[in-house]
Amino acid sequence: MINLLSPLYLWGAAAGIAALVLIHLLLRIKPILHLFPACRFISSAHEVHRRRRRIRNVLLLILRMLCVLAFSLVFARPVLREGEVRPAGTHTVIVVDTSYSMRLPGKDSDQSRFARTVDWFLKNKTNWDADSFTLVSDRGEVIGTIGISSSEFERHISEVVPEFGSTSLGKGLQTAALALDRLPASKKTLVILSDFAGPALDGWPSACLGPEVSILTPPIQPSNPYFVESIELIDPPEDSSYDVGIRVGLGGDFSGSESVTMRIGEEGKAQKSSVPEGADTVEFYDYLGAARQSSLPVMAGWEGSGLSGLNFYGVLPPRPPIDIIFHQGSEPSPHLHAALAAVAEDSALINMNSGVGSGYYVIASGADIPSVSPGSSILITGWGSELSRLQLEERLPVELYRYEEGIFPTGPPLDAEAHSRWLLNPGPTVRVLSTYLDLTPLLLAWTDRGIQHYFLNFNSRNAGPTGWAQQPNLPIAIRHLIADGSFGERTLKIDSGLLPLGEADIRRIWGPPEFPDRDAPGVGKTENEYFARNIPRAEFAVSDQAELTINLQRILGENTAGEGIIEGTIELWPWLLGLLLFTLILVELIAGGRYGE
Amino acid sequence: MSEKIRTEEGKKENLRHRWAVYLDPDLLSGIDSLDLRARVAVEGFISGNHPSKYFGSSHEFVEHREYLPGDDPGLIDWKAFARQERLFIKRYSAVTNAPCQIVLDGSLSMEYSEGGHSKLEYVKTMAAALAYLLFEQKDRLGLSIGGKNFRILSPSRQSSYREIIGLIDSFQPDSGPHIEELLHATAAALDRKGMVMIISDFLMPEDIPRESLQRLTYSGHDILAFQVLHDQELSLDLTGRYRFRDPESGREIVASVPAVRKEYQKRLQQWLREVEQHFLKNKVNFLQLGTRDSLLFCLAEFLEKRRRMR
Repeated sequence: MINLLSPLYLWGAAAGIAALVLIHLLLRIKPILHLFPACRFISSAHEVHRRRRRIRNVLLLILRMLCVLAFSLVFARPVLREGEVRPAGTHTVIVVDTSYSMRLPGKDSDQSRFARTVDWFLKNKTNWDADSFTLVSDRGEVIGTIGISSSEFERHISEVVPEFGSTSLGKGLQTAALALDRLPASKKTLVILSDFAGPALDGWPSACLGPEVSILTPPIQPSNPYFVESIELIDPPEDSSYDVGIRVGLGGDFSGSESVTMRIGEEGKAQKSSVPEGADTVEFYDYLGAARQSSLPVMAGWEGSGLSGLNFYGVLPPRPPIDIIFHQGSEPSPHLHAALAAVAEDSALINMNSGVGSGYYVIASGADIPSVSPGSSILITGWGSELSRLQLEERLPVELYRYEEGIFPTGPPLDAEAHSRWLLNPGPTVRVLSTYLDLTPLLLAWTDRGIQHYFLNFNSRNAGPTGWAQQPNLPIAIRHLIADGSFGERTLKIDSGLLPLGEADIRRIWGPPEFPDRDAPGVGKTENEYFARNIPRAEFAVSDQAELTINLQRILGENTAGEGIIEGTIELWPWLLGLLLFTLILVELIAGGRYGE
Repeated sequence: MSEKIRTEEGKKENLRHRWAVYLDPDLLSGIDSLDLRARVAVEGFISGNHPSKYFGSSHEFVEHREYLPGDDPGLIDWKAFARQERLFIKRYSAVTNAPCQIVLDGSLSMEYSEGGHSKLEYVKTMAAALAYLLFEQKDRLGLSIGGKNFRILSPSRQSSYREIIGLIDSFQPDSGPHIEELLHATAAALDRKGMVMIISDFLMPEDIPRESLQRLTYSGHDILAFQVLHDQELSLDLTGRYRFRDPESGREIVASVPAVRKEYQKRLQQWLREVEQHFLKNKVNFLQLGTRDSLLFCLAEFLEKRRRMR
């Protein structure tokens, strides 16, 4: 792929070509009138010559335009990305769930879920010998390197052993999204081999996949991951209430669905369970636009999550109007905080982090909390906690209902058997936008006026309990930064606990200006105190935003313990100079010193 | 020198003096030595240089005929009587003057002038030279001219040299009747067999004259065609890019001369060959001239060639 480091010079090319065409038209030789009786013989002779002359003139014009273009391109400094893996045909990225639940045997068989999903995949793959694979664990590790063959894939997957631990498919999907994005295969396929027990698919990586990627999952998941009407488990857990999350896609059209059906159990034994009608105490914002509000009673939880899971699929939704951002976290996620701060530029921001690792931490405060009026939109992020809920409750002039053991202080009763443990009910007057985990890329994408404050932390030592703040966030976050061309001249602060900055080979990155000193009102430490705690840190000044070159090889290499995606650049201007010279010679040969004849 | 010869010389000198107003003296003296005779028997009124279909007193023996009472006894061939003991008389062909018609193409293409050479001037000189030659031979001369002063003078009209020369002098090409129409009109005006001399470039928008030429040929006329082209037309020796306009059709073509010259010359030569073939096929004596060619030399060569073919 060819990128231009100084694309502004192309305007010069456009102007030059326009001038050239003008000159070509204006400077044509005006013929002298000559009365000539034997005109008809000229006419017949001219017919032959006219076509040849026209072709020659057009060719001459094109070559001269090419000269101007090549000349401008030399200054525009085109670079060619090097080392991209370009497998012919399909490239398939397979995300393998290696969580403990995959070890469990099936209901009717001794075969483990892992074996069953792998079998299912191998049976379903047809004529894929010519294709290439990348095998990624749910933890984001690349098991089989990029471009492995079909036989290598089988060897690699035979070595995978599910381990103890919960599933975090989101990290695997992050890496998969990265691989799929960087691999320009004609067809891309994402395969998720999971029982989908426990985790929700963290939505934002799949949002980054783009529409050209087809996703293939075992029958446990419907074929269209963007809109889930029902979920069938091929190997349902014995406990039907076992952490099954309902996933509602945002990219699809689910306006006609009044309730979400959850099927648990084998076919024929499906137990239909739905949210009763009238349980619309949660007014749900669907992210498709302000007008698209739904009373869809989406709620689900899973073991350990503490909050209902709403997952984003499909293309990035537009940014909703947010009045309040509420983040509660139990692990350090400073990059999230920074992103929240960015979004919160025009929002009243409340952030109370009562997490284990970082303590209280206030990003910013843009408005007094009591000034929030009924009808405000509140974005709640992070892990749920009693404390933060209570804090929110204390500060907001609304009632928050806690569902516990089927008893509601107020409000309508809910079916205790069918639902999980938490329900945030903001009441009829305040909309709760979402509860979600790592919203960083989404928030960045929403920030359409450029990032003012952005801070990346990929210090693995400070990674949270689930490790989801680890390194794959970095390139993706950077990619989001790059995707927004309105950043202007910025400086990126990098707090690296993992990579020696001297070797990171990150240069000339757009970034935010100096992070402002903000003493946050209220409790907690200031951001500067926080930053001071995380060293080393380095700054890279940028002089030209067009000169962005990021070598992610090392980052990916460090993070995935496999072969990274090589990305380098080759300057193309010497070739262009050669082309220019060649074209000039051609022009002279064709024109022969004449122009308009 | 007898008195009669002196008188003839005096008349000729007088005639030459008068024609010198229009023609170069050198040309006049050169034309004096030329001899233009019809190749077919013509119908004249007085004695002249041309063969007649009648019997007369020329030196050209035609036939023997048995003597009839009333025949001139001086014509009896006594040698034949000695051999056959019968009386025969010898019959000789008559020579007469010829009705001659000069046809001058008056289309706009005849006006072409370039590099100090004018096709019109060349054609006028040629017509005048031929007229002089024919007057000198005591032939009866007619003139057909096209263009602005379109007019046909029949040979039987006994036009004076002043009238003929005046018309040639004032001849101006215009978008009048074309050579084809002019030849048709001429054929209609000629009542006796004679010589028709066509002077044209034959650059017609459609084609070379066919029907009119056949009409003249069937009428028994001896036809001579002179194709006069400007040297620029023959060689296209221009440089650069021109907007060529056909003076007759008004059609315009923009072309670079160096680029089309070779193809032009090839096509022109092909057409000239076609024209020549066409005339030869119709038993027309054909002469092609360029405006740089010496008129006297070309005419002399042409007439000599014609004499030998007779």
